[in-house]
Amino acid sequence: MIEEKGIFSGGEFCGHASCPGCGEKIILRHILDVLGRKTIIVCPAGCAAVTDGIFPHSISPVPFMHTPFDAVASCAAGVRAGLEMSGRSEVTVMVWAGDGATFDIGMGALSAIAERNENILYICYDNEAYMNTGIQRSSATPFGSWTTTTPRGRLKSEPKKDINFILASHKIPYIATASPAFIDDLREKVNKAKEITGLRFLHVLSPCPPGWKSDPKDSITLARLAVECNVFPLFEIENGERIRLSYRSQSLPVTEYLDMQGRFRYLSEEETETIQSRTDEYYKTLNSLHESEQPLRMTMRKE
Amino acid sequence: MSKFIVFKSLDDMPDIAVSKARMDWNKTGSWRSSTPRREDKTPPCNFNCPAGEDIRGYLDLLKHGKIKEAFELILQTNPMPLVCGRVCYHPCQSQCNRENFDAAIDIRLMEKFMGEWGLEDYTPPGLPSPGSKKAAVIGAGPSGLSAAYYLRREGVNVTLFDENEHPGGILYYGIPSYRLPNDLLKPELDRILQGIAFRSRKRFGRDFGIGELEKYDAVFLGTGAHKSKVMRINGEDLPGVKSGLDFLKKVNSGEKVFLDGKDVIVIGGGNTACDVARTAYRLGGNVSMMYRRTVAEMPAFAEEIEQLKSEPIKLEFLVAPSRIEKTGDGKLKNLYIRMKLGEPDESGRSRPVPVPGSEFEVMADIVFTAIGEDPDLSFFDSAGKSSGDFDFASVDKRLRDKLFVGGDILPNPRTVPHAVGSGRLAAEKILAFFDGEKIEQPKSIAVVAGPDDINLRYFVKVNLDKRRKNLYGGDGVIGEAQAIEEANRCFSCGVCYSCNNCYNFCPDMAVIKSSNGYQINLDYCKGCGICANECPCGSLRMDEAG
Repeated sequence: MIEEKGIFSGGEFCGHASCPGCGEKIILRHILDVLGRKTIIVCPAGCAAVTDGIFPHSISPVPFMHTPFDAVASCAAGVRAGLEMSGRSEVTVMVWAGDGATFDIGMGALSAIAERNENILYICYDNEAYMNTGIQRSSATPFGSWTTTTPRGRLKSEPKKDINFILASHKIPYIATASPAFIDDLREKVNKAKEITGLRFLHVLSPCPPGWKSDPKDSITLARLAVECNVFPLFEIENGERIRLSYRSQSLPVTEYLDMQGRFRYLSEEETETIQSRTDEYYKTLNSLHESEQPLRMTMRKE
Repeated sequence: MSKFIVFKSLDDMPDIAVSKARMDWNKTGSWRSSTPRREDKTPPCNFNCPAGEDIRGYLDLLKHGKIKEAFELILQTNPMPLVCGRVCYHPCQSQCNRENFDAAIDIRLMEKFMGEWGLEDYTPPGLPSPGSKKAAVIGAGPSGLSAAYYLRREGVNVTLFDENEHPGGILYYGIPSYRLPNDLLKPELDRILQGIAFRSRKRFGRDFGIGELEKYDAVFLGTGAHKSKVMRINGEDLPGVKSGLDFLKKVNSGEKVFLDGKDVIVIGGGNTACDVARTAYRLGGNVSMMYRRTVAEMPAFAEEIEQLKSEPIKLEFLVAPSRIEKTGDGKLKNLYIRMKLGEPDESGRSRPVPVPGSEFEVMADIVFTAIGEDPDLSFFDSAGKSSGDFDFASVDKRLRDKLFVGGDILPNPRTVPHAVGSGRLAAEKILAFFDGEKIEQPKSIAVVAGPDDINLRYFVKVNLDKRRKNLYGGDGVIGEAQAIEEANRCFSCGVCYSCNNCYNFCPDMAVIKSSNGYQINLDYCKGCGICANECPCGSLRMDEAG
């Protein structure tokens, strides 16, 4: 366990506007605690931006810069360049973006900083839809999920975008997935990413009780089951080539995870089986690549 | 705390949008509709320990490698972990919530390990010098030792009387050496007896009387139950018919008893009967055991029965003796009658009823009776004991007000841990009596943590084969590493063990770590319930009332 630094000792972080049981705030808390005060958060539109505080108030113990939805990566690159020019290269520039800004709207700019291997720690809290604006589907929304734009009868028919392997193809130094239920693993990955120069991408699953139609008390249980059911496996990719599973899951049936969430209530039996078989296939592929020396194959998922 | 900032004019506004203060003026606790409460429950092991040990507590210390602290925690309620690790029937372990998950923690083995550690590696802290208060403890069995130990620890001047040469009572003279070797018992007794004046061969009522007790401020009576019950049949006073308990005492005192090739009958089905039968077998006898009910009704502990069955001892159930006669060649002719089970009696067990015309005879050289023991309170003029509880009213006035009793005289189950517990309780009562107080029975009823209180997602099943090899491969002798590994399996049922989950998983930073555990900051707690849901041991609950 990465030791606590007590960054919030002065009453920061209390009084934010996140919903009860919000995963995003649990994750951010621990990330900031590991990164410490020499950090600048660059944050696009999204839950994190609106719940951080009401102008001129903020829960953040470090500078928190709001940016347009599509421009977070570019803005972060600008902050980085400014810091370098003023000789403050020790400061970590951290992007704190949701899945909308990462998978959809800011994807172009993200690809650009990845291609240039900018020295930025990009962390995506993935709650798998545009939750802040009212649960619209994003390209991170999983197959079979209900959202207000994929209602009953028209459930999302496309699988979740495999963002990690898209970024892996950019050959950035470090990519990792994490879950707030595995706090030690999350903190260790943040700490590891902090020490690496170049673009580091962390993809963290962030349970969202209002959007997932789940009980607020179950947020951590869901974050744990997502991993244990292989829906959200924990792994690392270094230099876009070497993949390592960070946790050997219990491979529970996906229904344990799905059944606790209202957004999966309308799944047919067939669709549930599809999710199970795709999950198995994906995990099998990850396993076969685990710690192997061969370069990654680009197509990970069978459609 | 930051204040809520309101800009009154354009001049107040910063040039760029920048934060000026924190958000902690926003008391999000007002969103809450249910409230987390810290509420430690009683773990089943602690609840079921007759000696009142904090088992969960010492396993938790052991887990962190704090062996000395763990040992001292045991000593707070039980001065003889080594003895109990060997002879206790461990109700703690049979009620362990882990039993249905993979396997119960082997608490007895843990206690045995702690006891052995205590003999080798523990130096007790110095005792307080004895004060003005004097207490006499009569009987150096488990209850007397326990009472004497806890009185002496608090600075009472304690004199311990016993009719035998060695202290220990039933531990020394009753329990066979294959279960509790006297050379292991001795060092533990030495530790308990530190600072205590031990008067051996002093039997109350024979070698000293109430007159001698007048100089003591309090008297503890723990003389146990040694008088064998009579069978009320013809021939039970024949020379070859003997008390099983006396036989055990003889063997344990080191007297040579030869039973080679002799036919031995043991009558009874309790722990003493088992000990007598197994001891007689070890001395070369052909042993049969006669019990009037079936194996299911045997009052002996399940483990004793298991071990008994594994030895070549003939077990006869549903038989009761009706007569014993001496034959010409010095043998004993035993007449038995077969029984069947009838209606349940006051003990809840089925009453054995004789089957008419089913008498049969068995020849034997020696018959040991072990059908139960009664306290021998003949030192009091009147019986001293009415049915059930100890009758203080019948005790001599000079003694009555300062007399405390414990151990097998009380109507408790006759076990070592019960005796230890009652001895300690009596010591507490005596100390309160010295201070002019009285101890009331606690009124609150313990809430015992059940299997449903445990969040099993936080525990991993062990490989049972590996555990078995690890724990029992060395013939029941384990080292520090194995003990710590086993202690690590403890669920800590119902009691916070500082796992940090509630603190780590709170989205609102509303769980605060403090010196006395985690506290909830209700100013900001939104009542999501993650903390209670993710508590592995069930020490937090959500209170719907807000």
